[in-house]
Amino acid sequence: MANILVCDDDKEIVEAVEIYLEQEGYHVLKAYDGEEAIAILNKEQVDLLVIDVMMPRLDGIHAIRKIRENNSIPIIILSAKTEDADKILGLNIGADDYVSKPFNPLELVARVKSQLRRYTRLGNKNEDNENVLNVGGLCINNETKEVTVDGELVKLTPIEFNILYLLAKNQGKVFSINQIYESIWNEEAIGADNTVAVHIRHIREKIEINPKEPRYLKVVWGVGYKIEKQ
Amino acid sequence: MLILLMAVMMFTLTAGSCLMVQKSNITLDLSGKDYKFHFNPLSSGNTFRESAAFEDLFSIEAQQIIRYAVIRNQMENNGSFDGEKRVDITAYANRFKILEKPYVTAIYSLKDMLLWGRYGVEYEYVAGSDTESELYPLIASSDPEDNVEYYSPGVGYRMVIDRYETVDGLELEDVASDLEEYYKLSGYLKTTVDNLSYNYQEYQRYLEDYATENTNMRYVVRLFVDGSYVYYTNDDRIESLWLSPGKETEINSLYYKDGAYLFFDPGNVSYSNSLGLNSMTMVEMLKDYEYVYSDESKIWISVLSEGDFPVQDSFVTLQKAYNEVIPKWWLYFAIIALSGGAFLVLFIYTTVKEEARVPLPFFDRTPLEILIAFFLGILLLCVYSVYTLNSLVLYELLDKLNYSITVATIITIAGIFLLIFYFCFVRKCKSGQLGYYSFVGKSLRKERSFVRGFWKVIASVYDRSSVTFHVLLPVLFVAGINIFLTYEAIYDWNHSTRYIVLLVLFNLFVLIHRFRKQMQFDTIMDGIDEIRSGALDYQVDLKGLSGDEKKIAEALNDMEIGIRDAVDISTRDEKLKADLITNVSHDIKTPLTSIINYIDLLKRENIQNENARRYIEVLDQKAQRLKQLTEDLVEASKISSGNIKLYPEPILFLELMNQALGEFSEKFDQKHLTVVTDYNSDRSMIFVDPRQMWRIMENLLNNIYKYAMPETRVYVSLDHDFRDDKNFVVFSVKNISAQRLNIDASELTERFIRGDVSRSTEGSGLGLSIARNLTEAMGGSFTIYLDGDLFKVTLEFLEYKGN
Repeated sequence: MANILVCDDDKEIVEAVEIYLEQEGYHVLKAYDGEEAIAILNKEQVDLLVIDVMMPRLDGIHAIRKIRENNSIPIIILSAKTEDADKILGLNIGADDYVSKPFNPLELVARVKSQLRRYTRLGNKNEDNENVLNVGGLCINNETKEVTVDGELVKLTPIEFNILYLLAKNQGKVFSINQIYESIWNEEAIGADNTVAVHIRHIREKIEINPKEPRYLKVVWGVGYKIEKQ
Repeated sequence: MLILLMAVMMFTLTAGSCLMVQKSNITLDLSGKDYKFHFNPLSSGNTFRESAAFEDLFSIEAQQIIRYAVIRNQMENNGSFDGEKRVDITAYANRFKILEKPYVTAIYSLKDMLLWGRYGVEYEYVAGSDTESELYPLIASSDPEDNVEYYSPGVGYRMVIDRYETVDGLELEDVASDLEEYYKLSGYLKTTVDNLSYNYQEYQRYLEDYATENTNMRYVVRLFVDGSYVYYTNDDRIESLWLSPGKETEINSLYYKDGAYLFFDPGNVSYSNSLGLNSMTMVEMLKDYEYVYSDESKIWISVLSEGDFPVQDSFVTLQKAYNEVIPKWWLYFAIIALSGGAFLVLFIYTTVKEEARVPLPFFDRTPLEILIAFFLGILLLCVYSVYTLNSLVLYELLDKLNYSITVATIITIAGIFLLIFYFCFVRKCKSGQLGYYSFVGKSLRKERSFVRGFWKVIASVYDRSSVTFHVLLPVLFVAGINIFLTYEAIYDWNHSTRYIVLLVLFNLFVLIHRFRKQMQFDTIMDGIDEIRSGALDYQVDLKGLSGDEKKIAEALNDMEIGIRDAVDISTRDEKLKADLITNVSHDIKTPLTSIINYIDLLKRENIQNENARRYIEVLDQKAQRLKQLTEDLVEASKISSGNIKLYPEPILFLELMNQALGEFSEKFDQKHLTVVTDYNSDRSMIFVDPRQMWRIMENLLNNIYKYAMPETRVYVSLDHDFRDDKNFVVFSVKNISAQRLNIDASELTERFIRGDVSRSTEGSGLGLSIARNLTEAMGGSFTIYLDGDLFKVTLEFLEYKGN
């Protein structure tokens, strides 16, 4: 089973995370500051790192930078610093994901799983099949009408599937509610109708780890919806 | 060195000027007399014949011809000299008057008179008692009492010697009837002899000068002598035998065609000429000879008109001199202008260039008074020497070129000295130490000098006075001095020059002073502009300021420091506040995380105890609320302190509304709230930050979700409003409140005050406050309306129209 290194100067948090991860079957290593983390990384085989930013001796950002010089394991930042600037800094410096405190433990676990899957799955070959769309970890098969997220199957209604397929086929393009409605129902939109919005919401709930912070299906407020280019 | 270059320029300038002045003037000898002619460069467009010099020469020669004709009349018969011409001495001596006939006279031959004129009339003296003298009969017959005038005591009676025989062989004493007559006649004799001799000399000269082959002047003079017309001429174009009154029209046409002409006809009072002279001037020309030019006389005078003068006479000389200067005048002027210009440029360059304030070298430390004295001294010396040089015999001795060189050299040398002194002056000025090295300055600086004490008293009085005084005093001072000097100049007219010089100097100083003050003022204005445009580090350079301007500049600099400090403090405080919020929230979030995590873990433990599970549930809720509260707190403080960055875009309100409602559809379904939409605007866009707009909607809808009475309707409307020439998009949402609303709308939006006073329900009070701040930050308006249980929120934004 995968080895996960958890690094935070707050012992209680480390223990809590340990419990969650071990429940999922992962083996957890612990560190309480950046230097310790680096030391363990050099000694042990680690598959994923969960690290805090504000720590003594060596803080998370510097640690990540050092680690990234010769290691490309997935890194998830766990931090009470929630400003956009902090997130951007963290992701730019080499982290793969960013979870703010206080966090939903289930969400954290889901993200860990997702990162591991992505990392261990060697070469996500794009089948030269027009009917299969791959958007990051999202895989949409138009023939079988199946949708998988990081390998796990997701159940969508036909309408939901159609909407998702429309958006995924045009990665990055924003569709307004009217455009989606007309495309799917082949009728003119009536106007103040939030059917589409409701469907979008359902889709989001199903495929996103954290629907409030979607990775794939994003809302462009006042304009429409899109699938973010991965 | 620049001074050398400037000296060369100065030399060229003065040499050129002198040369040009010299060449513009010439002196000609016309028939024994010298005449000065001047060429005016400004009339450079004219040919020689059109020039004033030509006119002058013509007038002078014409005048001489007029005189010549008179003399010819005296000396000639039939057009040539006649020695046998009879001279009536009384008539001649009284030719300007009208004699009454009969009169006593003696007639001599012209030839004799001219001969006697060579030696002059000679006298001898005879005694009154000498009975042998030829004068005796006249002496004897006169009254001794009346003889006094004619008798020189100790010498005797004066008598002309025995040589002067009339044509009849008589002597004067034979003609005169008494002594008085004798002396009158002898006087006439002398006058006539002297006169005729002098005239004869002129006659000979004129004969030569105005012979046809020697001059370009042509003349015909008609006189009326002894009852017939006599013509005098040198014109070879006319047959002299031909001349008669009948031919005069032909003479007219001949002369009118010539290059320049004069025509006198006193009898008909007709005077015409080609020079533009008026009749009065022409009459003046005949003034002295009226006795000859009677009403029967006519005069024609002209200059030959064929291009270059055929005869080499004074016209040719003058023309040559003219053409030496006038056509080349441009060249001279160009040289002068260039060297003058170069001089000026160098001059300005060396004096206006910016220089640093350096300690003055030794030479520059000479006291100012001495400098001024030397400067004026050399200036006066130079002027004086050039002036005397101009009027000295030296001018005659030196030829023209040497004269120019001498003058130019003097001016150059003087100029070099003046320049040196001037530059010293300028250097003093630039380094701000003008008055430092001077006797006055020294005494001002000396600790206990009287001058210094005096000055201090005046300065302190000046300082303490008000603004009007500050302005009034200088103006009165300047005006007073000006009035005084002007008065003196007018009153003491003879010496007015010195007052005028003082006047000019004084006002020059005032002007310079004003300039300096203005420049200082400009420096201050520049400083203010810098500060205004935000450069708070700018400090006005105090160097070069004085008096009031200095005080203003200092005050300005101090103010600036004050402003800068205040701004620094303010920004620092803002930053502290922002940091505080972030830090505090971070510090709260860390333990909060643990709380939430462990509560979750507790929930996972399969605890059988019913109470324990309930407690855990409570803990979970409260922990979540705490989390929400912390996040809201950070958001609210960021928004209200303006720390949030907005990225506005044009968005469709309708789309946003649908999206938002979609998000809340499940939550509303939970509480069985029905949404009723009423929209009147379709494609209206607003220019706002989409994410923040979503948060506003989220806040409002969340609010409704939390506080609306279940199983009621929620009314959502989107509409237009046209006010004040502007289009507004109006969004409003209404719901029925579950709890009683017993406060008014404005309090509701205040932080930490919520719908129910008991604060027992969940949620924080920040939601509406955040929504209002965000709306207003994006330029919209946020209003709450309460009526009974009706809760209505209205948002208004300016409609965004394309582009």
